[in-house]
Amino acid sequence: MAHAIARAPGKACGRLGLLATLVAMAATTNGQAQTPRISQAQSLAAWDRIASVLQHPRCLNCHQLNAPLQGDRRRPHVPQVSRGSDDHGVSAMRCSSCHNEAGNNQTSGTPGAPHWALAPASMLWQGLTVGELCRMLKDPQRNGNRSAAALVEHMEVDKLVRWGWNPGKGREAVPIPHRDFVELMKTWVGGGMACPS
Amino acid sequence: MIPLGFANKVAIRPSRRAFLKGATAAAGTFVLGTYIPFRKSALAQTAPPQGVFEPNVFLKIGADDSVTLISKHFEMGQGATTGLATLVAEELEADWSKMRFEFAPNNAKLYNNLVFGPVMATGGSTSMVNSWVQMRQVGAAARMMFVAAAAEKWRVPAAEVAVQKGVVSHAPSGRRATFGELASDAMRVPVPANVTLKSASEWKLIGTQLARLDSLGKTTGTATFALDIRRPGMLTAVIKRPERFGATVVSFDATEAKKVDGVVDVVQLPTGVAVLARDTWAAVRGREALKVAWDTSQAEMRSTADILQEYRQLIEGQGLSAARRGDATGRLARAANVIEAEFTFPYLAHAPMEPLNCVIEARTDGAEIWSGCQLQSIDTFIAAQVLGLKPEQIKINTLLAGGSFGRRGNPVGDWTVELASIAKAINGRAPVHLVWTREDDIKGGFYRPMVLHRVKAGVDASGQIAGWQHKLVSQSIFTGTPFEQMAVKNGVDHSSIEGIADTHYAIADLALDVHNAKSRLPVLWWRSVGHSHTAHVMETMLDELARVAGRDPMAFRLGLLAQQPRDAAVVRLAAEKAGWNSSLPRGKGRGIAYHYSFNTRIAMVAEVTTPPSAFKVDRIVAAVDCGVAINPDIVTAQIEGAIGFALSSALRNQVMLNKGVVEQNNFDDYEPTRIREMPKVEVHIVKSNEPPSGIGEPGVPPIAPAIGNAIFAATGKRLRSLPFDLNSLG
Amino acid sequence: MITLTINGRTEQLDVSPETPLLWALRDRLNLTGTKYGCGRAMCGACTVHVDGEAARSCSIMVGEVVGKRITTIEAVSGRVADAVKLAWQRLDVVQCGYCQSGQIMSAITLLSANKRPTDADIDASMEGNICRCGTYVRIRHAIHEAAKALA
Repeated sequence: MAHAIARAPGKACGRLGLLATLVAMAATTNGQAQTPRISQAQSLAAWDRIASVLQHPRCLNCHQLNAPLQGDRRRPHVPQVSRGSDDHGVSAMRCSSCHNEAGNNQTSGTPGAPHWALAPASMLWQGLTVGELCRMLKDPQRNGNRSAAALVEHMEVDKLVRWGWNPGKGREAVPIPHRDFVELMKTWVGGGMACPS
Repeated sequence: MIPLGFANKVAIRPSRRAFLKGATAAAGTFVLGTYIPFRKSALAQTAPPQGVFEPNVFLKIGADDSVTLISKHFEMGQGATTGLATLVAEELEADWSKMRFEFAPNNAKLYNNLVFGPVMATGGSTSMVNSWVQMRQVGAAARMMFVAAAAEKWRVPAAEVAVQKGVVSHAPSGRRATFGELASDAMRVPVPANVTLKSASEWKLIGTQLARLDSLGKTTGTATFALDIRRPGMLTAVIKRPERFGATVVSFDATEAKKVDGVVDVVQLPTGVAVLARDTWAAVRGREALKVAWDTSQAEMRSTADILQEYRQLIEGQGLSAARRGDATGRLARAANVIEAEFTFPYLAHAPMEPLNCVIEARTDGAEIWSGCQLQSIDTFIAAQVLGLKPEQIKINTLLAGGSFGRRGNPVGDWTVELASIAKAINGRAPVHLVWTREDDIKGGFYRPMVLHRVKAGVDASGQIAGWQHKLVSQSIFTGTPFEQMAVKNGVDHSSIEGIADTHYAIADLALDVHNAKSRLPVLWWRSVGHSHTAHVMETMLDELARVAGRDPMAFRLGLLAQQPRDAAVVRLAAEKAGWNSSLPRGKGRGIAYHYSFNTRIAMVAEVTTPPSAFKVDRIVAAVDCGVAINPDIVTAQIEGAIGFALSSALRNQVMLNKGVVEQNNFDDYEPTRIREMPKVEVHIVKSNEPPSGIGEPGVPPIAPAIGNAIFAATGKRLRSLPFDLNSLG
Repeated sequence: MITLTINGRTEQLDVSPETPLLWALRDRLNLTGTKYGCGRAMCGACTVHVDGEAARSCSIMVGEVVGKRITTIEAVSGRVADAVKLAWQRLDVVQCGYCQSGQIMSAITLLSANKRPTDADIDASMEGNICRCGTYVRIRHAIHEAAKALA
């Protein structure tokens, strides 16, 4: 881990500020501070791993433009479905026609979770570079108007997000454990939501 | 008195092979008289309820004036029940709105398929062919009995009695009675031995668009299929079969399976292990928990690539000579242009919408079966054999079938064997409903064989075929079945080669050799059987030969059909209706294919859109000569349906093996045609007075080659093997 | 005990919440008009209405539809349903008929929401209903016919 010089909160100048800075530096060097500062590099590194989750089929399959992908193979969804006017499909081919909000269906193999649907079109992730994805995620205009804290909370508690870790038989769960993922989110946010270029 | 058999010549083929050869009717070879309805000796033992016209083996007339056809053919959607009823109603002068149908009991003496002989069976596109005269005779005889009954009752001359739309009347006296009112009197009249049938000009129903008799039930959820049968105390069974064909059970562990709520028993069968449960879902879950160890030492272990490689080795060797005429080698040596081509075809599943399933109640003195039964004679015999009963002790209740495409008609009765085996294993202690899941169906074998063709064909400057050398490798469908003697001669299974040597095109110099491949994977007839691949080869080769000879593909074909006016007429009609000579925008193409099968002639012109636009079959124009079109709308529907059915096999379907295990599972990886892929279809029926020929299957063969030829026209790329490698189009 | 509202009746079923609605209908209530074709929401033969919207009963668990209005082919009714069934009968859409309960249920949902569907609308909404007999030409035609009759 890189040891960048942490910024103390408030002004860096002045005697109090200098003291705070020294304390912070000591804390960084020792790694034993009460509130460790997260570096930009740490934030960037966290993002790299977060991106691997977002680009995993469990997430990316539904962050598509008009039609979801299906399965670990990311094939076009069979049968063919499309977004429709409300992100939930067209008449007689609604997401809920086959997908249960109650959860995965072991008999039919259809996955399920609350508010099962395509992500809004503004959250199209397919085709984005890791950097573009990063900038989209932190932009309130394109992330459902979420603050950083709300973003973390979304990843932590939202049932549809959490489905990615319990997707039912025949589907690979997101490889990074959910708890670790949430920590990564906090790290990324804490380090200033750093994005690669 | 002239026995009926001689008064009305019927195209009866005593052997299937003769039928397959397209033998023409042999006058007086078959006495229909044996099968005249109303013979009292053939009747059921119990006395019929008053008023129902029970003496008739093929009709029941109710007090409510309903006329019920007792159909010897099952209904899988092809419209046979409506067709047979039409023939009866025409001669009977029935009111079509009063016509009904039910299925005949399994009695081959009364209800045999007259093309197949003493066998009760539906298939080979023969239902209307074999019933054409018989059903009209039934109606005519019944009409005469009503006339005679009225004449006697009213004491008037029979010649003055008329029958129209289910009403019998005597104009001079104004007397009238409906069928229902006269039914019991008509029953007492001796059956006429001599009937005259209407001439075509007198037809009121035949040739018209009558409403199907099964529409109402099928649009209201009231039509009953085998899957819908419920018997008291019935157990539902699913079978765990081996992943590999030819593997056998070594041992099984039912401990976990029996813990599943609703599972009642687990029993071993010759072909696998059955889980019996209170309902379907329990049975399926029970099977998931079942552990079986298999012996695969005799099983098919190859992958598709291995099989194809072996096919390619086989085809290099000396095959069985299936046809020789003229001097193919010599003519090819002198030909102006020669094309050599290889075609491969995958295993194909039938995949009817209703998966195989059947119900049995077995007792020590007999058994009763409910099934969408296609070969009653086979299934009767097979069930009797397994249960140690006599065939007369097996009663089969034939039900509507949710599709078949050949799967329900298995000469080795595989699913009936399974059903009877389960009943035997549980000593008949409960009715059993054997259910195949969709996965069982896709993985269960009895596919259209995998086939390899190699053709070397020449064309000369005048557009004539200059030699045709044809080799193919296929598994034999009929070897090892009760039909082997009829269909396999000198080692050559006719169903592997039909459509090649017997082509109507002028191919004077032809050599056809066959190699029989072997596998533990069982194969079966798939809608149009051998024609499903031979037509594609013939029609693609002809297209290629036309092109290399610098000729229009349609005109080229006409040149080769100069001695076949009915065939040529169909080609011309399709081309004309399709606007053959009109131009298409860039990226679109038009292709033609013509094929003769099951005595029916059909040409199709396909129009396609190709990349860079998304690939689509836009339109198919078909022209068909099937003799008299008993119901033109049903004929049209069969051709539309053939296109809907076969399109996906042209574009993508294949059953592939990986070390003997079928890779496909369900409709996601064996995906049938979807509505968005369906082209516009136009069907033109040639007006004909010839006896009807089959229509259930003939629509399938020309589809793939018409599309392939259209793709070539649009792109200059020749796709030969099926399914088409559309990705190669760019 | 699961309580479901099916075809206007309250049904008490001794089934687990994960039970596919399809099998509850067919095997517990003997409502066999709804068919099994694939069990994996690929073919649409099992289509019923849940609160008027088409749903694949093989893929919907009974726990999911407690408190919702379930309608099967045997009981579907109303102007749109009548028009659809009539068009299906007049045009002789059916062949084997096994898929047609599902086709009709989907078509009713489509026409209830869209009075004048285009061919593209029909393709999109009927996509989930497979017909192996290939009656698609007539299905499309019948939907247009029903739309005209309802206009």
